[in-house]
Amino acid sequence: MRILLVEDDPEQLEPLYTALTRTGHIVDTTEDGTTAQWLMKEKDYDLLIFDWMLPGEDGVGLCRWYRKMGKTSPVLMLTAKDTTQDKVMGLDAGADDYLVKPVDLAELLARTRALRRRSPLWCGDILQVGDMVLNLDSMDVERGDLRVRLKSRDFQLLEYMMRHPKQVLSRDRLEQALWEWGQEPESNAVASRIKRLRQQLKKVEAEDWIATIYGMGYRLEPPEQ
Amino acid sequence: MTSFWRKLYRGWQVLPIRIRGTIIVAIPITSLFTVLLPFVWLKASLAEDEAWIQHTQTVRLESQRLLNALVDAETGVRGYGLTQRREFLEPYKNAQLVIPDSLNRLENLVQDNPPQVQQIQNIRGLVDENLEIFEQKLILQQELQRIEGENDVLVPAASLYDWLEEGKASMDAVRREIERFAETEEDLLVQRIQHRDSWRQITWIVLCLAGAIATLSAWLAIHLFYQLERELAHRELHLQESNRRLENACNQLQRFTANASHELRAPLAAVLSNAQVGLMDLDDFEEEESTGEVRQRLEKVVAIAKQMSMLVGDLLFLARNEGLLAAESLKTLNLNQFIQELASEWRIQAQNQGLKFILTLPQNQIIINADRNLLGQAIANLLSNACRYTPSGGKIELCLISTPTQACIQVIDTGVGIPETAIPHIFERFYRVDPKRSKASGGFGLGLAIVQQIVHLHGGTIEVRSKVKRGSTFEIWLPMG
Repeated sequence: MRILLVEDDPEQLEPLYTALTRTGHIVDTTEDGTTAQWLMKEKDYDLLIFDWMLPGEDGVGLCRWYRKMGKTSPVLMLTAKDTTQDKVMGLDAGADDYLVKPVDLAELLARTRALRRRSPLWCGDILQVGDMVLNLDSMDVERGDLRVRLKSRDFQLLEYMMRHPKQVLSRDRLEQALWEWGQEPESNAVASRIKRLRQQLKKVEAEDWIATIYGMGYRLEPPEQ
Repeated sequence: MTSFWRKLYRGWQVLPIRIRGTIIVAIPITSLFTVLLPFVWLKASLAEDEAWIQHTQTVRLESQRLLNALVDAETGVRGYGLTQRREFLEPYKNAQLVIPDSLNRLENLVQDNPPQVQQIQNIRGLVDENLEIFEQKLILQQELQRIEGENDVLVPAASLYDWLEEGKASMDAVRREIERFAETEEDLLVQRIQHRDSWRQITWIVLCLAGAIATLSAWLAIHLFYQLERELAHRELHLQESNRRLENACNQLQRFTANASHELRAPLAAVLSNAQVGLMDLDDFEEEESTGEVRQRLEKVVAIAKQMSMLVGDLLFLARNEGLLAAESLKTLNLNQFIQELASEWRIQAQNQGLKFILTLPQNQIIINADRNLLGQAIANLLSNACRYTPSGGKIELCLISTPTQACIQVIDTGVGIPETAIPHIFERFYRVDPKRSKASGGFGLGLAIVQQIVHLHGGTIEVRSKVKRGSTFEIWLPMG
């Protein structure tokens, strides 16, 4: 899932970013409301997490602005404001969920999963291509009796490719989808991640599932028997 | 002297306003009476003096009249003696009528003065004597006429002279006495006029003094009143000032709690999520032995951060909810239904701890105005305490009862109870009956303070009865309607 996380305190931002990234999400972060607005306009997110008090536009303002653009992805308010009036105000501004800091990461991740399930694009906690199954919660790849737990980077790549199976995915497209905003991939970064994923897939005897189409990109396809 | 005035002034200033106001009103009234009384008394004595002067004048006139009458009588008799004409007897006859009357009146008038009464008596004696002489003279004349039988008989001059001389001495005596009497009265008159004049002078002086006193007291009263008014105005200003300051402090406090919420929670959030990310990192390590201790420490950090977060929440709750709830945040609440819902949540927890849970609801539906969340939290805090302090095998009761005006929610346990000395303090913030046990059970000593505050927010009261090792009963009394 691609997530926009807006939080002005780097001390709080970093662990949240780490936790979300480790659970396989691609997280764009920013510390101010104005940048957040630009990102919301430029990119599509599956989930947005806003702090309330931010430089530039505040969290509630961002939420209203986002809904005004007609976008429907779930918004989660994560703030220290804890009174009932605050919660009512946040939810009325268009937020789907409201969590009061400090929040238990387990709860935040569970809420994230719950919000993902509510998305109209939701099609179950697993992705399947051929006989290969990817579990979105545990990041396990299963094929028959074989199973491997992926690191989040590999998981992100495999998830994206399994969502677009049998398509040739260009390097640019993969970079756009998998790299966070502000991170410049090195020239051979996609190639090296593909290489790493293939090594992981070797453990489920599926290293030949990803084909390199020279000059065009990569394709995930079950090999013809 | 100045120190005396200063002391007096200071004494005046510390008097309550009611007393000062009374004194200010009393000053002119008192001075009016103190001036009026002597003035009235002076006026009265002046009037008395006037009356006495009048009286003396009357006496003088009367004595003059007496003297005149006597002279008239004498003249008449003389005239008659010389001329034998009857018309000369007319004044004599008149005088005969006037004299006794005049004497009586004089005697009456001088009753107050015994020497003068005596004098009148003397005069009366002499006058009577004189009148007798006149009478004899007349009789003598008439006898003479009868004897001689002729009207034009000339009386020899010598005998006539004798006749005339007769009685002169006594007449002179009367005249002298009357004059003396009149002189005495004259003296009295002079004395009395002097007396009156001196009183008049005194009255004038008193009048001037009264005027001065009245002016002074009016000035004093006005001065004190103005001063009091200034003081009251000053006080009002002071009140407004302190009111403004209180409002400021209140606003500041509100801003503080709003900021405190953010400032306290932000670092806690950072601590908690960092520790939890640390725990996630540990999951990546394969070997458990080397990471076991670090995991324990991080778990402790997580637990403490969560506890701190609860403490911050409780403290902010207590800081925010002072006074009474606004009417709009109170909603109609069916207590029977509400308690039933709460009971179903807590029954499971009690049973998990090996406690018997009993719910008692009345037949009639009890409806009150309350904030559902707050009241729920209050009852939950009491039930949580009951579960915490009741050993396994014990019993917890949740009862709802009502009187015509009040609803009562009871939480009864058979737990460790509260010592009598601790009961007055259990609603204080951070108070713990047994610090060791409370810490072990994870409380900060704010639960009951929150319960009490919520109950007070609803205009209710909370009561507690407890016996050590027998159990405790908490009662929340809420007004109905």
